[in-house]
Amino acid sequence: MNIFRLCKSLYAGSFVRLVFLFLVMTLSMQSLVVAIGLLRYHRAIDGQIHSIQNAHGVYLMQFELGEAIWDQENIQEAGEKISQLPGVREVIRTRELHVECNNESYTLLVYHEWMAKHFRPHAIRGEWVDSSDSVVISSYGAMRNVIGQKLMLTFRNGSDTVTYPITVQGVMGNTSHVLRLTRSATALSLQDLQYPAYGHLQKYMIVSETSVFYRTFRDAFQTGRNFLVLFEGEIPLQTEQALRAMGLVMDFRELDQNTEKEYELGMFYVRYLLLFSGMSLILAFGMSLSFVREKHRELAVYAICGCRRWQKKMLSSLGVILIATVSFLLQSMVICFFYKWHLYRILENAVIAPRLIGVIAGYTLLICAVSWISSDVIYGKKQLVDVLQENRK
Amino acid sequence: MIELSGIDKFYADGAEQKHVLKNICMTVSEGDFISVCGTSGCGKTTLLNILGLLDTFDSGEYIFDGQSMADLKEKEMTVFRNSHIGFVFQDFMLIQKETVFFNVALPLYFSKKAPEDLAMRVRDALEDVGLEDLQYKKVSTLSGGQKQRVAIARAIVNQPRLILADEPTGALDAKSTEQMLRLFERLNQRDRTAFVIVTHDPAVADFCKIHYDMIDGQLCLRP
Repeated sequence: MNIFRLCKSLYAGSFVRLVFLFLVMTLSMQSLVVAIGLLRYHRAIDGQIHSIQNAHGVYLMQFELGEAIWDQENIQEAGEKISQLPGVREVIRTRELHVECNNESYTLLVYHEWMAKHFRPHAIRGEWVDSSDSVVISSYGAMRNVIGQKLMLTFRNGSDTVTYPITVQGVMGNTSHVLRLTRSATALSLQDLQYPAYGHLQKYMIVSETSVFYRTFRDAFQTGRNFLVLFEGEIPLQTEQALRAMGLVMDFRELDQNTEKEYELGMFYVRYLLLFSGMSLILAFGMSLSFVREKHRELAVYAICGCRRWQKKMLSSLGVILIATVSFLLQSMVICFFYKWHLYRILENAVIAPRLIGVIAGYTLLICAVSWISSDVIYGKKQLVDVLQENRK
Repeated sequence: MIELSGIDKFYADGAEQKHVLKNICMTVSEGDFISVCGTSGCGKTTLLNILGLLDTFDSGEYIFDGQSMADLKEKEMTVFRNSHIGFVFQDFMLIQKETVFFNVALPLYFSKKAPEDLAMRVRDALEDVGLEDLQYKKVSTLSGGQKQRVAIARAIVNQPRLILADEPTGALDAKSTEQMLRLFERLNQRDRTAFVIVTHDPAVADFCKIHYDMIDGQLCLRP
């Protein structure tokens, strides 16, 4: 038996149809992922959805002190000037940021008010920070109940060491979206949001030392051009104006409005992407069933002509390999397009995403599973006689 | 050649069992030209499927050349069907997108014939049905009568001893029906191939030499 001839007969004529089918299916899957990614991108994680309607306050941004303007001495001088402004409790120029508590080391993530409003992790115990003297710690870090304990934050500020007492007020859940926030911010081209946390210090939280967080802050502080400014409560207008005059303050109003527009646009896309995804998935599934049905009819003809069960299985398997290959190529192409258009950050925000190969393999597996399941459930158990009867009808 | 005795077949019909074939007894000898007539749903196609080893039976005995078919495993059944039985269906059961040659050669692909032998046999079968000039044509471009002749060529290409035809004239006009029956008759007389034709067309039945009637799952030999 010339298996290649039979295989060619079964699948060659269907190649274009197969490509179209999987293109539809791939687009459907990808748009679903993008929709999920966008949804996560624009909403808080852990099931909390925060409106951005009220996010119009003035917030301080990180201090970008250009080297051309600020040399080491100037930085010192600027730090001194800032520390004398009303409401400023402490100005810290630091290269490393870590805290110690009960002989355990944590990385400190300074939580920006704007971030706290929109990307606040779910507090699973205790309460969210409500003063500049309180912290929440990650569930990973909270190996035992530490709510109410006093922690001593220890910073190395140049050659000095600064100790700063704070109280653990709550334990929070997943903090991974904080990382996503910094990436999302970049994706939104809001480059200035990339390190939104250490411009001023109004709220704190302690997270376990993950390499990513650690690297982010280490890199940021190693520039030696940044300050941590500890404020007492709200930032007085006078201080804000002074910092602005020094070129150290950025107004978030316009930024927030842009973000709001981005949010609305994002939600618009999410809705239509979900609609498109659902409809194309139904279309693809219908096409898939029709394809499988046709192949089963052809295999029934083969069976009448003496094709044995193992030969049928082999031919079906070759079909699945073909389907998997076509699917894999299409998935790869689509994801390449994502990268080409710098949309991969959206993918990264989706449920399944971090590793490209894993994503492609996952989709391929999913699509093949859909084909197999539809094939097996709907036609696999049918006897040859049933197929003959169907054909007669 | 074939002896069916006491064949019963049940189908599940919801919670109930439907008795489709009741105590079927039938003999098919070499060179027989048999028709099985009956109304729709009386069980004649089921009988044909059992004869062709496409379906199983629940009780009784099916002997083909002294060998019990009930003892055969699925793989053996497939091989037996491939080498001894040819099929002609009302809807042709052809691969429409393929050529006449490919369709006729299909049973030979599965019986591991050498390529030269395969080509020769296909040519002979197509000559028998008068389609030797159309061997590289796609089946989808042929008329109904021509398609049925391709199906007949496929049925005879392995030189089977029995050809089973299920309403073979159902999709044909009067002229094509006449041509097809003459072809059956010729093959029957020349090769001594036995034919069992299931039909509800009296004209087709009259063409056969032995007549059976299927009434409500029971087979009666017409005198």
